[in-house]
Amino acid sequence: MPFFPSLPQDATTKQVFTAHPEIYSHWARVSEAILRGPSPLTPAQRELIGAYVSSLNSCQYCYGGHRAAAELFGIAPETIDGLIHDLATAPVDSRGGGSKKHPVTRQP
Amino acid sequence: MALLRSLPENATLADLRQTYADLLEKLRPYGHRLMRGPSPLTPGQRELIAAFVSGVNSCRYCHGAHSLVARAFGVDEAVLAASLDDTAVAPVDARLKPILRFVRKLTETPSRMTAADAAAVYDAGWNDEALLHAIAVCAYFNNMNRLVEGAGIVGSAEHYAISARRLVEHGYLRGVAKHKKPPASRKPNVAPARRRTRRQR
Repeated sequence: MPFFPSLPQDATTKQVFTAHPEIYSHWARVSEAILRGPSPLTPAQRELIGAYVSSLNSCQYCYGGHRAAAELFGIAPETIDGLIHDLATAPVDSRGGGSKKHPVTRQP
Repeated sequence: MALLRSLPENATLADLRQTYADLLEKLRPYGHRLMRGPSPLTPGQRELIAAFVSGVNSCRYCHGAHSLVARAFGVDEAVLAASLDDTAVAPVDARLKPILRFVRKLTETPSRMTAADAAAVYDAGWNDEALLHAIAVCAYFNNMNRLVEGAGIVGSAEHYAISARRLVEHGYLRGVAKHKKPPASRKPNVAPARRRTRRQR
């Protein structure tokens, strides 16, 4: 349940973004560029990072949404489960399983 | 030292922005609107949150630059340092304390926020629009801190002062001209490392 009395009890990020254009009107362009724009990483790899970082932060909402997006882009559910269980032994492309994502979330 | 091999050894945020302009230029209009646009929080309060969150993350570059920006907007450095050290006893505006507590917790343990954390902010007289703005500033600086630390950008007092001067004079939209030093002492209130005695409130 959101902490904002002005939002409905089942509010999602969409309601927050729509209710506050003074903050979020430019946000779609930022996230579109980061997650779908030109990149050496595929959208699937970027969504996998999104889901993994969200799991490190225990953010259920972002984890759920970006895990689903990663799966729609073709990432196998067992890959995501394995990552969250143990990065070192997960059945993920070893180029994407380095040590970078973890420290910058927990010890920036 | 820069961790991205495409950056010079003593890279600054300006180097990162220039090298990856397609991606990072998109952040400018967002950052400018968030930090200088309409908000229940003053630019000084937003810069205090920015410097505070960057301090919680021990991001030297962002903490260094935004401490100077906050100071230019009237936030005493000693107040910022004391708030980071112990918010409860710091000589900071009492209304800001629950906001600072909220953003510290949101930075350190984002999934553990409770209705009581929000209620403390509302009890200090803020509405939920103010809380959302504080959250958005906190989130933006957690993002910037990770961009900077992930790229291995450390900077120096001189870099922090150059960034701060640009942010004070032009906001978040304009980049720093590369290798161009600003005229000395034009804005003495954003010069680096000048200690002040604690302001009596």
